[in-house]
Amino acid sequence: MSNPIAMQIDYIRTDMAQTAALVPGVERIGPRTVQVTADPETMFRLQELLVYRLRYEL
Amino acid sequence: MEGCRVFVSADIEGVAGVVTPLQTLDGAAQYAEARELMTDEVNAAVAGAFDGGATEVVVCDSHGGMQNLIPSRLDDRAALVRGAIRDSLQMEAFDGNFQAVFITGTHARAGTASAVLDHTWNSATIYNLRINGQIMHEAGLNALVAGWLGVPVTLVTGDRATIVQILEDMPKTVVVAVKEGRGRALQ
Repeated sequence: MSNPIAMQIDYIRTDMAQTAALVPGVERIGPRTVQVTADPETMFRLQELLVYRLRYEL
Repeated sequence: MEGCRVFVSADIEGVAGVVTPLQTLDGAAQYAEARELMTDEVNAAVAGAFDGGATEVVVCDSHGGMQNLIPSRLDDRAALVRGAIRDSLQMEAFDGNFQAVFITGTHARAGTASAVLDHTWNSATIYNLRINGQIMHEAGLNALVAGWLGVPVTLVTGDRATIVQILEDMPKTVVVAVKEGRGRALQ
């Protein structure tokens, strides 16, 4: 796979994408979708953050 | 090369006999049984690694709170990575100084039919996750990191639907289908 790689996450809810887009480098590209571009190792750490560490409170 | 180090990333939904969230959530009614099943499957992978020439095996507990494997039941030749608040999800403690990665007990990506407990990372938050436009399963995401650091994924185990996806994306990987899903909570 080419480097850097682009990751898109479709969240279950729109507020999750809104929250994720607060992270620098993470762009909201749809109502519940964000995109970020990085190398694979950084991307994996971003998954830790965007999936598990951010608080989605609604 | 001195020695052969194998990294085992162990999930639970793809373990034979695991079919329901009652088995996968800490504190649920059947969780204790699933922990035993998971530990036994990991032990089989660890034994296989040593039988095949591994000199060191690191097992990364890779489900939920990351404290599922039963240490007293785990093959004592393996080192165990246990606990959460991690940097790297199912590849915690992995670096380029391994010769092979095994992914055990893994499951199909979110939205797969006839697949036991299909999801991608967290079914409460993630509908789909794509890399360069391709919808990913967790094994593929782990493999991306392993490959980036120059280490091949050489074994993946899970249900049959998972194995079909693995063979589409990672055709050189040795695979073992340990069960056949008849529904999301049925094997």
